[in-house]
Amino acid sequence: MKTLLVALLPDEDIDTSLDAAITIAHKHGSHIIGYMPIPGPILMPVASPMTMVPFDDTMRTRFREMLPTVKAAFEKRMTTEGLSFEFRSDEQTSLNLSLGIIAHARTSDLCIVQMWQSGGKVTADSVESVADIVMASGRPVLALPSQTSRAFAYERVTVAWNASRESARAAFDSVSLLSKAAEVELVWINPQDTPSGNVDIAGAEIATVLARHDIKITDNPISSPSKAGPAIVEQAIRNASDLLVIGAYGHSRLRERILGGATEYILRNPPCAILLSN
Amino acid sequence: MKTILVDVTPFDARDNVLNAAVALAGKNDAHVVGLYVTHARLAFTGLYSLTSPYIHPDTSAIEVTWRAKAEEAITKALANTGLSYEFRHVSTIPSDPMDTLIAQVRLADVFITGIDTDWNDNAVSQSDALGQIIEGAGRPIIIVPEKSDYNPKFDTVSIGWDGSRECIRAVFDAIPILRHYAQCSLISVNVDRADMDARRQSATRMIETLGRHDIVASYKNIKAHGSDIKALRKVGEESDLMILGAYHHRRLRERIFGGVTVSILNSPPCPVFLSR
Repeated sequence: MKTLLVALLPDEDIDTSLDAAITIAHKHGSHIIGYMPIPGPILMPVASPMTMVPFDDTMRTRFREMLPTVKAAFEKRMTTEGLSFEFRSDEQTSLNLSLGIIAHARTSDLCIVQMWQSGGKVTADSVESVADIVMASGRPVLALPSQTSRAFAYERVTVAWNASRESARAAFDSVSLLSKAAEVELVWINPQDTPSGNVDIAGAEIATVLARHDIKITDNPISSPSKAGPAIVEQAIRNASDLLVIGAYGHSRLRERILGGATEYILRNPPCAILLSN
Repeated sequence: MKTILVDVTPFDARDNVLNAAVALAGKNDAHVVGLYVTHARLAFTGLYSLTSPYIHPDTSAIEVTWRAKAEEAITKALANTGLSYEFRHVSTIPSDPMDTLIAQVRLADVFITGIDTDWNDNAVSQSDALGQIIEGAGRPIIIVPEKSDYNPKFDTVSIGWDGSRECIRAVFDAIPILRHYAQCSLISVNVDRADMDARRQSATRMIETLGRHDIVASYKNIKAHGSDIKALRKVGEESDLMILGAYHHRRLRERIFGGVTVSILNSPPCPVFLSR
């Protein structure tokens, strides 16, 4: 975790994201990249000659106006904390800000974004953009709920495991964070339902492998009548976890990304910060 | 890299694969798991279907002999190294040998295997089988070429660089290994003039990120006449390890790994680290 990319969007409380980045940077000696994407204008085709002209430029104008404020706020926090940092900003060709975040996330160890909550639930749009960033960047993403009273920490971590490719990806991608945690619990919901799951040893094997990385880990196979998503969220709450590590299940069908049921449920109802990997 | 899984089915229990595992384990103080999957190769070669109705493959005479050979090989390779190791036999019955293998690979930091020069399964090509592991496991794998006198060196490592998601993933997965090499280069081959700047910029950023992990790397674009694969192969021949992203396109049901990946998988010019 030596290079952290923090997405800075003026509509969000950027301090929430910066707090998380600062917490990690102090423990891992990381360099922080603050990145603010500027949306492109909405274009409208004009016939004869066929050209695209800006139709709605309000978003771009607003972001451009906010840029100096965001940059100054970022630099001030970083200087105060005495961390190594840089600020980046570039203009996108569309309103989709995820594309810019993806491009910069690719060469970072970790990408930090916020999930926009309304009435406790994360909005569908926000879930979609987090999923987009995880899948397309191929890097682990730390998604922070926007409405939270708790400061970000990773002392108590719950890792969701089900022997799948995605859960393996998430577990190994989070090794360096997990090694600094005080308590890690590996949770496997209903291992008996997984074809390859040997119920007798369930998460013991992967727990041993992770423990070789100096991670203080216990494994906890859980039988639950509920589906994996709600069961994982419940367990994270019961553990009073600061961080929940999950594999991001999903595939793209043409342009559309389809998230797995459990991933979607957890992202909609985050009990704490979520680390995702695909 | 604290848990290294090495394929010790008899076809692969060759010194080169074990040497690679032992060298890497030594550098990382890692635990080595010698994995023997019952009849993985019998199933691939089609013998499985002939024997299974009559004898339970776990107890067939040939199987017992091979398993003993595999255990002997891993013990011989590791007994005097002071490293921690285990021999693990996994029965594939009744599940699919490939699924069993993939489930094991998910439990390791890296999987090291070899090339089977006697591969004679018409249904599944070897690169396909390896591709399935890379894709299904979500863990990196190292493929060690067939060279009887293979002696692992840690001088030069080359990264096939195109800035793609797969390529970057491979580089991040390789970080714990890259730091053992004296020289690390990001290499692109015949980049279009139009892409030149973007490629250089992505490489520069990756080099900065690697630098923060104390890995000094450089970037080079090779202009080569002839095919890109040939040029990359030449790079591989001059390297002690090559890092590649595994590309594949989904075409209907069929999974076709990218041309470069397939060519390299079929005959690796040096040990190749692949991930996706």
